[in-house]
Amino acid sequence: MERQFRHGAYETGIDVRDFIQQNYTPYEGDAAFLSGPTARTSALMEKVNALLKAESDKGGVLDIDTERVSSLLTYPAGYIDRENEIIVGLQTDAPLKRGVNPFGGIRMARQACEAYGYKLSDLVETEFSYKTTHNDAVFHVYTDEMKAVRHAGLLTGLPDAYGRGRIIGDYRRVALYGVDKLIEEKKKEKRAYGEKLMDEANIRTLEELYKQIDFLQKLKDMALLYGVDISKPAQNAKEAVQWTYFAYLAAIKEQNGAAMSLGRVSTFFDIYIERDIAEGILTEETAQELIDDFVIKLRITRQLRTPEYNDLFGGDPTWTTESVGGMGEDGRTLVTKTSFRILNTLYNLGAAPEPNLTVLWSEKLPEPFKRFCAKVSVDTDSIQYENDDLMRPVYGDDYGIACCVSAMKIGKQMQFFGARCNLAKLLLLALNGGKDEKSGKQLGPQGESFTGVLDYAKVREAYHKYMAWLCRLYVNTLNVIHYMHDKYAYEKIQMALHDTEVERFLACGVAGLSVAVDSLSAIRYAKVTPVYNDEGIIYDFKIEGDFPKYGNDDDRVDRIAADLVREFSDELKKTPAYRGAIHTLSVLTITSNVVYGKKTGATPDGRAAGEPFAPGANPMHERDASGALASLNSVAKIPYECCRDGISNTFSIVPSALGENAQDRAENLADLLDGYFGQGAHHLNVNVFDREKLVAAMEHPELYPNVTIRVSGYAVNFHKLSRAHQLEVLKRTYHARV
Amino acid sequence: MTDVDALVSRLKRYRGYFRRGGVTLSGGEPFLQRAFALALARRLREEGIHVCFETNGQICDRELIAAGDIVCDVKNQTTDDLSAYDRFFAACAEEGKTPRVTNVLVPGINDGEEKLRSLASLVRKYFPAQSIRFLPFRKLCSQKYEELGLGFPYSDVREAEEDDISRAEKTAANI
Repeated sequence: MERQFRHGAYETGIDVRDFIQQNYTPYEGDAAFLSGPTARTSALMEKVNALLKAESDKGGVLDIDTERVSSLLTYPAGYIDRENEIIVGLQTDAPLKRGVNPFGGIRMARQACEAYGYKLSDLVETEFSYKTTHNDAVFHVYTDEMKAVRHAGLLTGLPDAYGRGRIIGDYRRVALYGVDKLIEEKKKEKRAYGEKLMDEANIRTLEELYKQIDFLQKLKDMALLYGVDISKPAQNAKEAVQWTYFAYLAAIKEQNGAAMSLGRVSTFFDIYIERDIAEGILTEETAQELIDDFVIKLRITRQLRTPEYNDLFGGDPTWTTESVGGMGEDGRTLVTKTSFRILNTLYNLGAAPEPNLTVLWSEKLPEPFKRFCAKVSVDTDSIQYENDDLMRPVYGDDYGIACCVSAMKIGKQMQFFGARCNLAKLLLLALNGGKDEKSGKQLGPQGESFTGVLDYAKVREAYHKYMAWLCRLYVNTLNVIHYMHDKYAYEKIQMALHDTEVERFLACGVAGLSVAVDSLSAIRYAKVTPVYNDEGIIYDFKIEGDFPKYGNDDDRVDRIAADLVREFSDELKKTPAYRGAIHTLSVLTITSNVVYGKKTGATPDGRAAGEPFAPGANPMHERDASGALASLNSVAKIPYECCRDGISNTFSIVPSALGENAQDRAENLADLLDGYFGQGAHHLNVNVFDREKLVAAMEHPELYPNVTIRVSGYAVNFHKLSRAHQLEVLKRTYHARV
Repeated sequence: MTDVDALVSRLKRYRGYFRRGGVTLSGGEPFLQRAFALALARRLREEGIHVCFETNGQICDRELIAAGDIVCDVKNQTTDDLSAYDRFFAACAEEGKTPRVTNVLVPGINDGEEKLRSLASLVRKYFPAQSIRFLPFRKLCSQKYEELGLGFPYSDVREAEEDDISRAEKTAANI
């Protein structure tokens, strides 16, 4: 029997893309071939559901191992149900038990334990009293100014007390090459680096290579705890999935990163699966079972975080993002049967937020796949879409999405996650001559406070001045953070699964875009007069007359949005980034738009103090009054070339607006996606959901345990959101007509 | 008043979304704005955008019927006289148009066997293959009546349910 794959460049160097291109089978057919869950899968899922319920009943955390520090070899092998698992491996020794990972910061780990009624062991406390964590180190260096803007919430969500995440190891390499070959390649590169000048950069790389090799060895040992030898390449589909999962598992044991994304594995797996099916080793049913079992493991991925962290990123997400579909550079689709199989897990195992299934949408995707995706969206709300036609020219055809919207070539590029700057608050700072509108403190350079009716040109000029000041400070702050993260919490196993010569992005972000844009529009087209408190700080605005609002396909205001992100992006680039990283920008808030809103005073667009922002690049709630498509058209105008780290749009529509029956809804949703992405838009979260059902879910969470909704760039169980988040989701514009 | 050019350029912004569909002129009653509707339909056709009119069938205008696809919503709630529809359907048939026929089903008002049968046989007379789409009566508008200080004439009538619709469909199909 033919066990050989087609030959290619992947045999001489590390090149997973080439392996895929040489060997995959595009699939242009429909979903009729798919299999339901086997009895084994259903029985295992039932056990998992019982565990999930116990976790939820305990307030969100089932158990914590407080005695040990999580890493690859910390825990003995753990199982859900040893006899009935196909793919093995847990983060700790028991399902849903969370490990402690204090390298990002001991305080965060301690507080997280305490919040759930546990106490970090003296052993771990003592051990870390002799260690510098990433969090310690950053604060050793932070300037007063950095601390002040961070405290005020001008820069927020910075990864200075937790793992930065958003790095995708090329976990497929372990399956394709086996660990021994990967170690051998890294050793070769280490020797080559040894020939170079021993300057700071090269010494650092050498030390990192040492750590990578060390952890590749540990990865092998970790698999051996489960009785599996992964030193050689995987020989069949089951091994390919298992090897890949072990690599991912090692990463989530080692790092408590904000987003620990998976990459793009489905089509890679498909090569092994189709070969096994052709040889009679697998049937469709057992192939699906394999993918189902893999996804069950991904669904119980957990990290230990504080409740405050949850305020920012509601719903206990892990962003196990898997990118599905897309087109190849040669024009063939990268959709395979396994692209269908992984989406099919949402039926076989029930709807769920993780893994974060992300469809790379192209106008040229096979029509049956488009319709299947749309159908899954309508049925489960568990998919997000990103524009492959927009990203492929930049990132090629083997990129993946980290977190929500951050594209990167797998194994070749990584990013330094940079959270975001609050644009709305920055505008208030500019109007107050550099003072924080909440505390009255002087945060930025002293400037003139605005009085009387606001003049657009003058406001724009002041805004620009403060933007330039903040962008420099922002990049400098991120440079500190990532220098220290590399030094004290380096992602050893994930970076071992990257090329040594990796391209880096400094992923900056903005929040409150629609508030800032509508505020500027109000100043320009209506009459806006600030209202002052006794300390001379603006606490409100008198707005006379109407003004165009972002979200109505009105160029007068949409142009302001495009200008703002371009201006911000240009300013960022003026300050060089750590390790030669390329500056990128995202318009993304995740669920933190609620917290950012809380920290921001009343704005000139008529938004009250404390009111939540719209998420990501969304128009403000209820202001996009010209229908769903006009709202999409406005967001589509934000230029991706200035926002290479993604432009997030969350879209909720009631089923009846999409059509009368299931088939019409799927077809219309597919058309809507084509129409939106055809204009160069980047991302869309789709919720097809009656508002009434969400209200009911909020009032009676016990009746709707599995309500999955999409927020900014990921999905959550609705009942895991706080009341404030739930209300905010309800407030978002529901499109009852297209 | 929006002029045709301005409206067309706005509608063109949505071209990417309607691969299968197009623009539907609904109401009010689009046939009441004859000149505008004709001009708009002509301009959209020139742009390669599909056009459809949703009318109550009371204005039998050949030129408008010829200008786009037709959705005809039959208003038989307060009358048994279907002669206007006889004329309208005849005109459609002569123009080679098969209208999609809709009818808002109001329980106790127009869901009786006789009414359903006479409507169904009229549709069949001209368009033997065409079925009627019954739309369930809803009271979402009652608040609007209230705000306008008008009495809602159907306040005592219940909303139509799934069962009412399938019963009406069956009756109409079995004439």
